[in-house]
Amino acid sequence: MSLILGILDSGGVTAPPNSYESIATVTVGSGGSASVSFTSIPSTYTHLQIRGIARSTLAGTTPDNIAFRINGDSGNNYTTHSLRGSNATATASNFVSLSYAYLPSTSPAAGNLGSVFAAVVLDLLDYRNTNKTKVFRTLSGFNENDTAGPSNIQFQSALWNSTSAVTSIEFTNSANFAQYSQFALYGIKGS
Amino acid sequence: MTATYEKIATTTLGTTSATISLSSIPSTYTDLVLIISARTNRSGQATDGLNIKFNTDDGNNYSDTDLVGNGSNASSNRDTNSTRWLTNDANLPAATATSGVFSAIIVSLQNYANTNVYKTGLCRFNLASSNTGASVGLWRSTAAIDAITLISRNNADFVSGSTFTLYGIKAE
Repeated sequence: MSLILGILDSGGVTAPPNSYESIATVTVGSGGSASVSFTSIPSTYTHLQIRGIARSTLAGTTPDNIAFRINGDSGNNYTTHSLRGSNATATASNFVSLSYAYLPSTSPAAGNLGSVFAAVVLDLLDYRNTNKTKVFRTLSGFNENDTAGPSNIQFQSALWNSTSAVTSIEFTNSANFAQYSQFALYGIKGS
Repeated sequence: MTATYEKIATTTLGTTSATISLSSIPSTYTDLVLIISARTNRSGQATDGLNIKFNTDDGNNYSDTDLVGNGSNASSNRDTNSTRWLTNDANLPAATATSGVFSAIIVSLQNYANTNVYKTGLCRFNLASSNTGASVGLWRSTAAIDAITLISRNNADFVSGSTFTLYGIKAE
């Protein structure tokens, strides 16, 4: 016996929650983009989530990193930890006192299998709380149907060592974000 | 700002079911999130695995990488040219697992209706009696996902009480 769940009601929506809102979305056009930024982030939410897909124009088959800065801060105020599964092994790494938050080997490069993009979900809790330094967590990964290549799945955390409210986020990589890369910013209300 | 994260479909099994099929998924969202609380009746075993297919594609068009911690070790595994996204071989409790234990699994499908890209999904699984981990799956197709099928790795049945809820998130 099998169960088939169709979309039974016309809109498919019976009780839409109103605590999760789309704030802004950036989709990279033809020619790519060196950075993706969200500015003037409203302070009306409790948490933020960024969901996206990413690919780099970096030459070669080594996956590119994704870096991000908060409020334009280029001081050495960022620390990152990663736990990665790539093939038969799991590895951990960390980067301290960087001038940007660093998500290593996150997105496929130009030489990786075409049309493959990394999926990324990034959460930032209590982003406007001025009593706390800011911690991000991410789940990201991509797979290019390779037996020994760079495909990976990663848990990551990133610290921005500041109690300032987060009002802007800028993402960059080593080259450009490729066409169709997309970052979407959402706000989650706490009350 | 526009509220989003809307429920598309949900079910709680009242009896066993070999497959869970979500069909006629609208293309009006940006991402899909599937939240699963499930267990199978795989005979004589404590664990089973969650497999996922899209649009009823049975070709060798799936691949994945997973990362899992089982209490003493962290490990990773990779599958290529599969006929399903093999999220993990042991992320569902099965017949001999402690009664009442169900896995908590969240599957995220970014840009599921984008016909310019292959589809990449993230699966975060938690089987508290055995392991925790995550899997990334690739479906090598640019077709929009309009159907999702969930299957046991070992062709067992999902048991009564298993729940499956699909949400849509729209970026604006």
